[in-house]
Amino acid sequence: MPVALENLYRQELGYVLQTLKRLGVPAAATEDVAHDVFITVKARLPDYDETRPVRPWLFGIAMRSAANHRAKAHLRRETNEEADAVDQSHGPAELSEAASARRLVARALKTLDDDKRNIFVLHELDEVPVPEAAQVLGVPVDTAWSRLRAARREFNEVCLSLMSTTEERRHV
Amino acid sequence: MSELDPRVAALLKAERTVDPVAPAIAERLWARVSVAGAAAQVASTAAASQAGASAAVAGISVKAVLIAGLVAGSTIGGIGGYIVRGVVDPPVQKALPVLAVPTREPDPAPVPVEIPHEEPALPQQPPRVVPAPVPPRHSAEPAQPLRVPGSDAQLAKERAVVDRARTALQRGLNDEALKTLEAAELEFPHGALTEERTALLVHALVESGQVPRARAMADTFIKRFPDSLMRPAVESDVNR
Repeated sequence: MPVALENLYRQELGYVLQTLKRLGVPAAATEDVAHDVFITVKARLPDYDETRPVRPWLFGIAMRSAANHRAKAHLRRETNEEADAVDQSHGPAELSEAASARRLVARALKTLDDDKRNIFVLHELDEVPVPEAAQVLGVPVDTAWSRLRAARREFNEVCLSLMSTTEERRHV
Repeated sequence: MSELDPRVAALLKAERTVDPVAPAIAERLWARVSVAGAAAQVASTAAASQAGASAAVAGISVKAVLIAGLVAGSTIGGIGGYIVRGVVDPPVQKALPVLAVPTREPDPAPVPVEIPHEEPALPQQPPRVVPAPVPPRHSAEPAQPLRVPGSDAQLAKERAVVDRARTALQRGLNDEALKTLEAAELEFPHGALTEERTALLVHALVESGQVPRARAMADTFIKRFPDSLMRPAVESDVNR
């Protein structure tokens, strides 16, 4: 077992798990999908350019693994309803402010379609510059900008709506 | 570029931190990843030895397999049952109800059914063959469930690998069983026999003296298959 894989695993497992959740993989499946991610990492590690940042490279693998999982879940006619039900079962008052904020972001991300969510997560949360993000996603830079603009607009609206709902509940 | 509301921007800023992973989760997942990683290194070896191992499987008598299965059954419970499964006579299967896991068996292909003669057949007379019924092309019956092309072939292949690993375990070839199971983990990461393979892998790791890895793998097994019939055997393996 090459040391590089274990080092990478130890350093980036948290990032991979968090990215998978952001990309809509249900919590119950994140470990299985993370397993797939690191199996792919193992196979592709010799091709990895060490002069490049590792997270965008991992994101590309995680993004494809998440898409594969969704496709298989669709074939099995599974949905995320169970996970969503868990999310919604906790009222904002029951959660700490940080956890509540995180949940709000997760719910807003779920409203974006895959293309918009991918560029949004990569740029806004992972802080990858748009040209590099476009390369990871395999789309022209203009397309990446266009999707990002739309994603920001939608995310902003959904977040503000969820925030106002939360505020109303607090006052009630 | 559309601007984000300052409150939304603050949310995103807070979301940029990466949460630490619980050590138990990291170790459990690493056990799976490292097994599959090691499998990549031994895959070619396992493939090379496949023909020889298959021949060995074919060469084992039913009696020997039965004895090995019963011995294993007394020590590792459900796994023993699985060790016997598929290679023994029907009466033995009756005696071991744990063998019946119908959802894991491949669907039998419609093959012609040969009816044996009660009297000795004439040499030139071919056996009577009754073809299996073939459904009409435009049948009004309800549609069959969705099937992934090649899934039966994959299952048969996975079954062969599991049988090879079992045989190696019975013969005390723990390292060979381990390599076979590790290669299977890489080849069939979501195979239909994952439950059975993982249980066997725990047993092989224990037999090879790799108890910490066996424990990590057992944790993974219990998490993935909490209601498994093989759970007591797996727990017994790592706690003995």
